[in-house]
Amino acid sequence: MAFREPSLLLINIASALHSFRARTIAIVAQELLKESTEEAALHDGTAAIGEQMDRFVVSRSHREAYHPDRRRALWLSTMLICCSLTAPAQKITQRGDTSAPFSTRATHLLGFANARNNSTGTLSVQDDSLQFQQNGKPTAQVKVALVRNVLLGGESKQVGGLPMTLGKAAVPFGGGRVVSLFAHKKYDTLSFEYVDADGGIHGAIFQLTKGQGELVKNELIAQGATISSRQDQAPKENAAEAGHENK
Amino acid sequence: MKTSKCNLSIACVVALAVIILSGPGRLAGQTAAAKFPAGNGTSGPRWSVQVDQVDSGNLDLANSFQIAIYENLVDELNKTKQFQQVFRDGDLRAGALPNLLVLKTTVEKYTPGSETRRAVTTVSGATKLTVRSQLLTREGKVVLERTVNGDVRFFGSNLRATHNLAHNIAKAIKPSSWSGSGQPTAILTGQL
Repeated sequence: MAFREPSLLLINIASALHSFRARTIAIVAQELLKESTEEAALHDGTAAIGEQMDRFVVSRSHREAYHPDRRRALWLSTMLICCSLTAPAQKITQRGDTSAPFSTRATHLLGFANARNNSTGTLSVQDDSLQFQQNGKPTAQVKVALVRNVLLGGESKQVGGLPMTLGKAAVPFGGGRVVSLFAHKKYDTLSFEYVDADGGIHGAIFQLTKGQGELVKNELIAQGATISSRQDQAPKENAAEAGHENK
Repeated sequence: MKTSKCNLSIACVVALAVIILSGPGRLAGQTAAAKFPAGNGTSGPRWSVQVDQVDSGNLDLANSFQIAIYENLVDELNKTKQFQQVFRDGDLRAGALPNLLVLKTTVEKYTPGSETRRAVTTVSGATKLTVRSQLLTREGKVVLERTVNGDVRFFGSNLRATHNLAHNIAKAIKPSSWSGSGQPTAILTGQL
């Protein structure tokens, strides 16, 4: 009886998690439960021969039931596995619980308040406003409530800027072209609109490291920005380019 | 005989002086004419323009491109100084102005390119945009209609096409190019 109750508890925890791995654990727990009842049946002499072949967990010895210490060790290890499986989920959701301001590195392409175009800085969401801080420059900010139509996109760009372009042009026998083939990187582009004090519509575009755009978008939405009815757009690129990106 | 020679030389000197003095004046006049072309003279009313948001029609144009065209248009029109004021879409201050034109931009054609393809092949991977720009009065009368292209062929990111396009639109809708009535559609191409 002491064995059954924890296994039922495990099943409840696992089913609450709704994940495939958690369900696997639930199945294992069920098997354990089943096994324990059949072990008892074996001792009673009511189980048939070959009845125990279709299960995940099979006891090595059919002569007697698990030793109580072994059972506890098995329970402990199962519980540890459960805890380790639920840990990543807690890690993901942790971001929303903290009150620390969200910030990430970004390149301002155009349009945001009085920030300079093509400048790199820190994009942060704090105090109900979206802020962009360049090194040694005053912070440009817009109230999140005025932000609307937040959309994500993606683009593959050549790295290195003008110096790299000149360097590639200087490589003899078209070697720079080969370099170009591999010297590109995927970025997220976050574009949105906001309204100024006179009601005029502004548009702004930021370029972020791949994966960061989604976080900023979610943060903006959480703070009250409205999203567009249009879908986010993935970058259009040829298969060869995509292949290089995935390498 | 000596007197006539003297008179001739004096006449030559005077003629030369007149030519020299009149030269800079004529050049100055030409410069002034270039600065204030017909239709935008100081005597006539100066127009303000309101830039509407870009309509992508039924094309699958990225939102960042629409925003980039709109923002670059506002910037380029401000740079040209041809209009008294440049307003954004939705600006409440534009409602009270008497001489206001509305600039509508509709994307007609979009060819997505690739910066990597441009860097590797040089000849392919160009990003091309074709838009129809219309200048309308407040009553909806079309003052000017132009089809303008913008593209990026060699260096620069794909969004640079929007900058080139906006520059071409700003050139195409100078007040000197419209006379108050609708003109046949002309194509102005700008390339980097």
